[in-house]
Amino acid sequence: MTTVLRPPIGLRFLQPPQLSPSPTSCVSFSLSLKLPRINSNYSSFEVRDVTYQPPGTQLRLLNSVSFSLPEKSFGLIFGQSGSGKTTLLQLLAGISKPTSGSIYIQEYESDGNPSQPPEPLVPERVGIVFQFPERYFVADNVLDEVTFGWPRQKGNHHLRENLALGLQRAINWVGLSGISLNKNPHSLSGGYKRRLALAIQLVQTPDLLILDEPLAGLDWKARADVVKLLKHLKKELTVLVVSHDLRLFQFTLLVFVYLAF
Amino acid sequence: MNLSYLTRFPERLVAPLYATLPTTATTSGNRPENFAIEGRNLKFSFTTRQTQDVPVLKDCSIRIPCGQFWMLLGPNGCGKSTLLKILAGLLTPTSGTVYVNGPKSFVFQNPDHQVVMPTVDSDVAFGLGKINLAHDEVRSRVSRALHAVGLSDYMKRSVQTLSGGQKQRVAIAGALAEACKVLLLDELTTFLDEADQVGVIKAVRNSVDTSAEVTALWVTHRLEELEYADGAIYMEDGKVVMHGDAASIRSFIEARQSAYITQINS
Repeated sequence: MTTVLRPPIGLRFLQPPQLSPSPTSCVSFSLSLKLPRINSNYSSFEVRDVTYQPPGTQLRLLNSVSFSLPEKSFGLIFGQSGSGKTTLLQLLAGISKPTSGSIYIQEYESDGNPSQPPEPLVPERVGIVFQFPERYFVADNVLDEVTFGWPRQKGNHHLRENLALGLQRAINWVGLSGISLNKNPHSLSGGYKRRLALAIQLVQTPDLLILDEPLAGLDWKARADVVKLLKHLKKELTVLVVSHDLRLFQFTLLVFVYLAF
Repeated sequence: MNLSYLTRFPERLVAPLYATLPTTATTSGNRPENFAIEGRNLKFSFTTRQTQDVPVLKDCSIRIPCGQFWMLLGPNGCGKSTLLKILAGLLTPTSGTVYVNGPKSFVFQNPDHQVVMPTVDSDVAFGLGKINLAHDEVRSRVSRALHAVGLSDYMKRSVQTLSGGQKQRVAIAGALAEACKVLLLDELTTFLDEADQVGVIKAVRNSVDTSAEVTALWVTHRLEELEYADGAIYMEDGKVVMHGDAASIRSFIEARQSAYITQINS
């Protein structure tokens, strides 16, 4: 799959928010780009009319949510507490299944027409970093923490080589190359703990990286570090963030999803 | 529901190994200059699995005047939350002295740890059960406390329908209903949206303003919250670096923030 890196382009406002009369349902709209014509295929993560009502309840947490997230772009999900943001991330990561609607990857020709049937988004292609991921570190050193999810059985030489290259790339991407791999994860600073949590997902080489409140609880220095890091990461893969901190992400925003009651 | 019973230990006075403040002769229970919170030469360290002592607080001293709303800031790992828990009596300092007006109350970041009754008014009243109060007095205290945090209209509301910030305000109301003199609040706004953030911080500001006897100490990372503060303390690496004027501390942090962002983006 050949792809071309695209610079950020100004937002287009396509449609106003539509508030549902029911106080417990959510509606969404998205500001999305008309992508410029390019000389190769490109793909997009698509969410279409997704509704979610947990089994055994009468309450819909999401109601007909739709948006598109072009590959290697940066998306931000914003909304009040209780509007369903974290639920949406869990559906995208495959932790839960929508009650109705679909989540898929669509590949397009250069003229904007679909070039292949839509492909369901599978959990193996998505990395998710939860709020305060450092609370779930399990290993005694950085290397064991990053490789915790690796296959336990010995693979062939080719597999081991790929794993090692993936590890090195993930470490470099998040700026952990200056840290000793023997260091205890809990002794890292706040910002470096978030970098480690990102590296854990990046070694799996996801196509879509999902982050739930990546700046929460960080001091001003760690925030600046993580914002810069995410700005760099979106050149490599697609990033989708839930955050209340709109200002810090403004300069890099391509897709904005507002969930409202 | 207020968990102040967790904090009602007898205040333990630990003699400092090296006194750096002059000892002032006072009668028992009295305190000069009307401070609600005072910590002198506080030290705290914990032991790792490798039997290694890790210092968290290194000789911290603070003073918070009675009836004021102060904020405690600093980088992750500088010891702010540890200091707050020592003041609350949840942790014992390795050395140093603590004076905090009682009763005192610690409000946790996750409101689900504290708000446990089905309705707002029953949760606020929960802590009053251990005091023998007339029914009318209970209702009066609950009503006044909810008014102070701006939740009078929610008295009969199920707590399950509240936002995170509204639950925190219920927890604060529970503390106020018990005639709490000192509120200790640990990074309450970390997970709240902007409307909820403002709701909680205004509830604390109003609680302090309403009663001359209520003092609050609030840990935060959000510099914009300093505009609600009477004073502030800035910590780094287990030490108190600045103590006093909130605007000066905000300027200090913002200057370092600008310099750092410029540096990493160059």
